[in-house]
Amino acid sequence: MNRQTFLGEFEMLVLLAAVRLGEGAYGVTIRREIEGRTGRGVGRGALYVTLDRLEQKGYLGSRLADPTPERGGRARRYYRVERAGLAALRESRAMISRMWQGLEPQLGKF
Amino acid sequence: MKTRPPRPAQRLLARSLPEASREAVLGDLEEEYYLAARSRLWYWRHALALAASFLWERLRLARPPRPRGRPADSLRQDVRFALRSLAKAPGLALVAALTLALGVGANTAIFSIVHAVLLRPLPYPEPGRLVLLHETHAAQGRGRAQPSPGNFLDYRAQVEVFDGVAAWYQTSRTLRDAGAAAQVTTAQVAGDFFRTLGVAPALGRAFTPDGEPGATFNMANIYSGGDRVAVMSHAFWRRGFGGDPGIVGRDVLLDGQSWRVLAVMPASFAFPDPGVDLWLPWDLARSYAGKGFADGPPRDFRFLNVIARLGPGVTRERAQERMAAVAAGLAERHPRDNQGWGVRLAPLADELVRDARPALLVLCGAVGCVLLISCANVAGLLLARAAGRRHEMAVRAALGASRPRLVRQLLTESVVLAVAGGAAGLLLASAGLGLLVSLAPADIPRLDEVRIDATVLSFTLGVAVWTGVVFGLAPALQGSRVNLTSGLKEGGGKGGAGGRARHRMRGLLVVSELAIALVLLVGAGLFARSFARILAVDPGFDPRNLLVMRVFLNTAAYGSGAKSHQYYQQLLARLGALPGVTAVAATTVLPMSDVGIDFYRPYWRGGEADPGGQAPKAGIRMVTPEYFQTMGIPVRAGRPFTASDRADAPAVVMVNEELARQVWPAESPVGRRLVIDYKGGKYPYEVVGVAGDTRYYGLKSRPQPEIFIPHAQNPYLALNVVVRGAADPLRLAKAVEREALALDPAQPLHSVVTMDQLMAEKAAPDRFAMTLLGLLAVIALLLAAVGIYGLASHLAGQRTHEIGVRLALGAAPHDVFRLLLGESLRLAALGLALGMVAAACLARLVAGLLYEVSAADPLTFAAVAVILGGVSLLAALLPARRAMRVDPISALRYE
Repeated sequence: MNRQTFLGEFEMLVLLAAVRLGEGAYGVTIRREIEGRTGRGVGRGALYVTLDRLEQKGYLGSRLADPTPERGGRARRYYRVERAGLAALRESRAMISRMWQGLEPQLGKF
Repeated sequence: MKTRPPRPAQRLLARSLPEASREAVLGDLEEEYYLAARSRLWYWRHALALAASFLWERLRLARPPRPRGRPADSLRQDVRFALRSLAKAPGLALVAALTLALGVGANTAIFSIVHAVLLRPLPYPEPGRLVLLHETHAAQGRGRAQPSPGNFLDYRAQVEVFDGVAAWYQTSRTLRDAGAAAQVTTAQVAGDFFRTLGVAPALGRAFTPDGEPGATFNMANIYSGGDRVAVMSHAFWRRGFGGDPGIVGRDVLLDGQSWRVLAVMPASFAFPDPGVDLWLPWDLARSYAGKGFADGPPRDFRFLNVIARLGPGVTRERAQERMAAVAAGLAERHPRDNQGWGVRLAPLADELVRDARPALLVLCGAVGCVLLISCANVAGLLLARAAGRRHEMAVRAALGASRPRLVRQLLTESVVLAVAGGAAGLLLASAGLGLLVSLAPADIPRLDEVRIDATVLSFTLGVAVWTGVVFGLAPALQGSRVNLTSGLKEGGGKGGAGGRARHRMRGLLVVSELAIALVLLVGAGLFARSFARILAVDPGFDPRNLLVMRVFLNTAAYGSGAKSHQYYQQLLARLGALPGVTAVAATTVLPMSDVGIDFYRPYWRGGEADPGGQAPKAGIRMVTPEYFQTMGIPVRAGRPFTASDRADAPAVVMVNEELARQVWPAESPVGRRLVIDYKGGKYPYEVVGVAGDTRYYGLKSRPQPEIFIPHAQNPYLALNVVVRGAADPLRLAKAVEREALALDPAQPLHSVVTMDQLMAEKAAPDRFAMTLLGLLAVIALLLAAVGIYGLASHLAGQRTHEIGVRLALGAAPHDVFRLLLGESLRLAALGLALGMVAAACLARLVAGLLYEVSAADPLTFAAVAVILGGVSLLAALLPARRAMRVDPISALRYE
């Protein structure tokens, strides 16, 4: 159960992308944001499964927008980062910084 | 507007998505599909990947199913349950999935070939309007003769039914670029060749604005005047010129003359075949102006390939009617050349695959059979499993599951199994497809288009689901028929009321499997016998240790006959002096080889009147004196040519036995005179010898009448050189090529191959059909053996208790053995008998593909029955032996 308090790396990337995109965060833009910034390919399946999971954990909220024709008349699901999500991000960052502390001289050698 | 994403993919994806995400995910994918202008294949790939991830996530979470009422949810529940229940019997699931993978994989591979070769439309606009035009002569039994230049020009004038008529003729020429010389394949094209096909060049223009340019060629297809312009194939442009965009307007050196490149065709354009490097616009009408053709272009040299595009709204029937009238008019105006000749129009798509179609259809039938056998096998496995699940079914029924609900549950299991098998089959097919295509003979058209695309994918998916339903239905109906009282009472049990029906059904499955396997084995056996017959045919010469090659002398340098003759004398002398060479000769056309100048001329016995258009024709071959000795063709009478048959000596010929039989059935032809209508006149030649018959066009072809003329008396520029080595002739190739370049660095040798390779190429279509059919038959045999083995072990297992009782009561082990074996063998015998009947009926369908083997060949049928009977016996023997050794005590305790 303790696991749930940790954010996985990919979960963190998805949350950060959603924060960056603000109002315009939905499946297609989130994927592009991550791919554009990290330079790594993002599997669609992994993304949607993660979005679902984050929503279930209460980190993300979502709403359906009006259907548009270029999507075959289907609605977009826009995501918004919830308070709990922001808290989890802050917690992750703090944890990571603590782990990095004092390691610069050693890691700098590489 | 772009096409919608493929609906089946959408539906599939929608099914696998959870309700909450469905709308958004489908929408996102569709948005990307439209915005980035993706292909349908792209959509398929990503829809499948998405569906897989969601299904996997679901499985991973494996949340306890909440009670839900809607069908979509219960389907998901069924799938999840099916996966769990299959995971409980991994052995069975693996065997079943592998069996299906074989069946689906074989079908996918063959379908991708059939799809590319037979089903996919040709890559030309409105391909249905393209027809090939042949001339026919009923009395001479010719159904697809090639039109002559004179007649072609008349056909071209039929503008009211045709929207373009074009002709082509393929030859090879020498291309020189930056010092190196290479052989290229050219097609001389007359008429609106590119416009008729409806394909524009990718670069440049096929024709200049000021009318149609074109070159004229003489009777030997050597350039004789007019515009030297060429259109280049995309492949040759990439290969030979590195895709240089500045190629248009540049000159290339062909046979020592410069030809201007007008255009480059798109990569997809490969007509008449992918081997063509250059198309040379050909001014056919002016090619025959003067030069002894007083009546215009000749009408009796039938050598053109003609294609036409039907006019808009013109049916083939109407065009055919019109052409019949045209042919009748030609026969009236030119009776000598056109008496009895007609015209036939055939759809291009049909004509291209005419030779490949029957064999491919047989293969389709064969893979269908393999699929049926794998279905029967898996159905058998599931039936056996259903026996063990009677208690489970009874419990479910008692808890309120209706029979349709149980059937659905069981069907879902088999479809899940089928889809898993289908996925494995797809992998198998994509791995095997390359191998299959490399095995295929080169003359199957459009093989380069074979690939696994969206159509093939949906075919595979369809086949997988269909097989899931077919092999799942019987076990599902059986398994869901529950008798609550006995079912629940039985505990984990076996036997019981449903057992008998189940055994009957399993028996039925095994019987049909054996019958189908027998049909396939008979088919494979017949093809193997036929192939052995073909290989055993005597070609009329000794093909071992022969190296053959082609020389195409440059017209400019070797224009006159004397020079050409001198070159070949020197070349043959040099080659003959090489160590390891035992004999060397040259000829215009070589048996088994498609390159060469092969033509037929009318002949009749000397002293008789000219029979006009009725004279039979013989193949004319120019050969050097040592030809017969080098090839190992026996001289049956008279003498072979000698060095003294020079240009200034009396004109002599040799004939083959076939011609001798026809002209002089009762006497020796040696010393007699034969008139040949050749070289613009009807001259008598003295027959000095008779050569044995050879099979020019492959081992299956009949020997044709042939006339040989000494090369010295009728020199040709292009010859096939044949070298006989003392051992492996390929080892001579380097030295032979070196000698040729030493003689003239500008005259390379082309197409250097061994005669064995040429013969293998000729036999390739038969070898392909035999290999594939054999492979499928072996798969069928294995699957059928697995089926019998499964049935026999199941029967033995079900009766362990009974066997224990029998043994305890004093039955001898071999009685038990006989009892169990007898049961399996009765079924096997029934299967074999039914298979024999079916094979006897179906074999007649392939009779046309067999060479000198009867479709009812008793040896094949007997051998197949023995093999299949033996395999059945073996498969039934093992479980029966195991049962015989059962320890009565433990068997009785096993309640």
